[in-house]
Amino acid sequence: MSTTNRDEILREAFACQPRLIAYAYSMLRNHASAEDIVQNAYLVIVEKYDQFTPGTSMIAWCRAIVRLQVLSFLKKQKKEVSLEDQILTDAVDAAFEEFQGSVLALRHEHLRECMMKLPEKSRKTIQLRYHEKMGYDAIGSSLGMKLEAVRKSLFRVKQKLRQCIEVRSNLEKLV
Amino acid sequence: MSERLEDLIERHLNDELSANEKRELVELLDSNPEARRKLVEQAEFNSAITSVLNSDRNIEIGDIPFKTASPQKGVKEFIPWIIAIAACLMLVFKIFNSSPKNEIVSTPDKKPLTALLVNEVNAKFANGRSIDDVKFSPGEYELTDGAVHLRFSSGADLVVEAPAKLKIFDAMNTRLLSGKVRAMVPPPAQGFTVAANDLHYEDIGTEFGLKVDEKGSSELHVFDGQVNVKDSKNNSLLKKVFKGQAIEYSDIANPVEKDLQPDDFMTVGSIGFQRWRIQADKMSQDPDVIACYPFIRGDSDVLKNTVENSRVTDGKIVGARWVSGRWPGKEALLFDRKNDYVEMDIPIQVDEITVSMWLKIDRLDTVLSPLFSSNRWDEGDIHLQMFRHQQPHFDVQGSGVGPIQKSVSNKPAPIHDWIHIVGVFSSRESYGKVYINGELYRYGKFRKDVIIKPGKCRIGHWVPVPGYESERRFTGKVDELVIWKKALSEKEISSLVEKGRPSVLWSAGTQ
Repeated sequence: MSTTNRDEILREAFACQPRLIAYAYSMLRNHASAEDIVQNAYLVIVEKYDQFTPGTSMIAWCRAIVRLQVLSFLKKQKKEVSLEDQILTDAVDAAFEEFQGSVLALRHEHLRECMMKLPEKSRKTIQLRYHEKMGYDAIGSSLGMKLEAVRKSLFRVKQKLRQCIEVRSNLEKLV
Repeated sequence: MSERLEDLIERHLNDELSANEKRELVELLDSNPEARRKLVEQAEFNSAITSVLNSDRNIEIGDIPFKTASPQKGVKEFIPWIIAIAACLMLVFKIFNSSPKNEIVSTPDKKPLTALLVNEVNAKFANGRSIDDVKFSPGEYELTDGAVHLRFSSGADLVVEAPAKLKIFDAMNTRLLSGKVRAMVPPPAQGFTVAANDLHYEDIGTEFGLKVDEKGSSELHVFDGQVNVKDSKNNSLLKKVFKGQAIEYSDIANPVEKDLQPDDFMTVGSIGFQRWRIQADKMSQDPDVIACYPFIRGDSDVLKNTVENSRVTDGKIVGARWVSGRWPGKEALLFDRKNDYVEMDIPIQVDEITVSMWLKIDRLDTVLSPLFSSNRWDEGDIHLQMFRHQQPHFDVQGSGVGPIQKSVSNKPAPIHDWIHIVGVFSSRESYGKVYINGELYRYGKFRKDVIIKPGKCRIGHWVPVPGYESERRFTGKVDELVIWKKALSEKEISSLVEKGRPSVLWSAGTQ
């Protein structure tokens, strides 16, 4: 396979990275581990690029590699996996197989700009949840809010972010 | 259901569901495609929020301590530059090609990755560090020779010129102990900071240069945007320096204004240009090279063949005008009028020939556009041309009927972008090949013992031959022509592409 083909395949593969992290994140329920898993998967993808069949789905091929990495990771953890967890993992896997690749067209710069525009308390809520990985109750203690208020606040803030991103995305198309 | 579903997914992603809630979520997912779609959407959205928070210090809020990028996490820092990584894959590939084949579950690389070496010219590092090691982790590095272009995982680019010592802390923070750097900082990496002595130079705009000497003074040149100079002890702002300004700090309290010297700092492009110059010198010395035209402007109408004692003449420039080439400072000739050409004489006969050109096609107006052709079409004459449908053609008269007619690639050759085109003919092995950007486009076998005797040739022009169409025109730029008296291998041709690529972001075949 030529250098050009290799570059094209790998460029397409690297473009799948955010979606692959989201997939691994859903399976592992830990974002940092998901990033590590996807990093390892890319080592494999870069080495085995010539096994990709042009014309087939790149995201599906990459996801199959990430899936093996996820399963290997879970096996190495040697934690006892409950029946609920097994069934839920299968359901999550099936959802990604059905929908991944067609759901979210999100640009990080839009998200970043929209986050910067949030009121301070909303930004704090988002940061404590997604950066500090705090639960609703811990966020409530930190910000002086009740648990239910935190839950509703997160729901509303994320709605706002989605709307803001949509507006920016539409504006960009107009420009 | 929507709010409940979102809450279940939200807490699933944070591993907070009870066994009953897990069963509830599974039921929803099993029974409702909209729930499955929502799961994927929300996972991607939450993941994007986490990635942006992890990579952006500017979202720091109030008194909540914001973690800097964790040194344990390699990939999360790299999300902003997926595209750039693709452009650097040739270099990255050195790592993987040299490692043993892995099974699907490969050994993870635990060393944190902070920057990648994406380009270099004659670079040498102290302590035996190889330039093949393109991964840079936090640590101290000494560049003893040459120059390197590093791309940080934040998206910032740093061109470092030897001699230089620097200490990389993370994707946003580096200390220059001595030497000279040019930093180019895109919006996602805003805040990228280079420390020197007791100062922090924090980029708010897009481009600056910094010199540090071992006596303790530093000199900042802001080429674009703004740089904030801060006291490293208390992070207080000392000065805002704007585009066009330069300042020297020997003493924090008494900065001295200087003249801006943009040419004193190498650019990303100049690394490529310097590397090419070294390559061009090597080609001129290669005993198998019979002509090397690096397109360096000299006497008014002469295109110099830099191979000494070559029987191939210098080129005579007719009409074609000097313009800019692949890099700033590199020259090219523009052929955009009917009678623009460069003519030279190749009065020798060879068994094998390789013709290599870097060119940029602006238009393909005629059925065939002559790139480099003998003036006639007698036995042994060569014609390297491009069809209007963007397919290359290389032929030697007398080699047989259509020896190069088998297309290996049907992709159109790129136009409006620099391309590398190579025609190879071997009378010994009886084949002809044409490559574009290192990829084989056409291949053909022909009868043995064909004579290859180019004679008088022209770049960008064709002297009409009776029986063929009256006009063939080339419109575009050429900035390199090299001719070997041997057939180069695919590997050698790939090396030419790598050494001559116009920029890091240039991708062979990109249109």
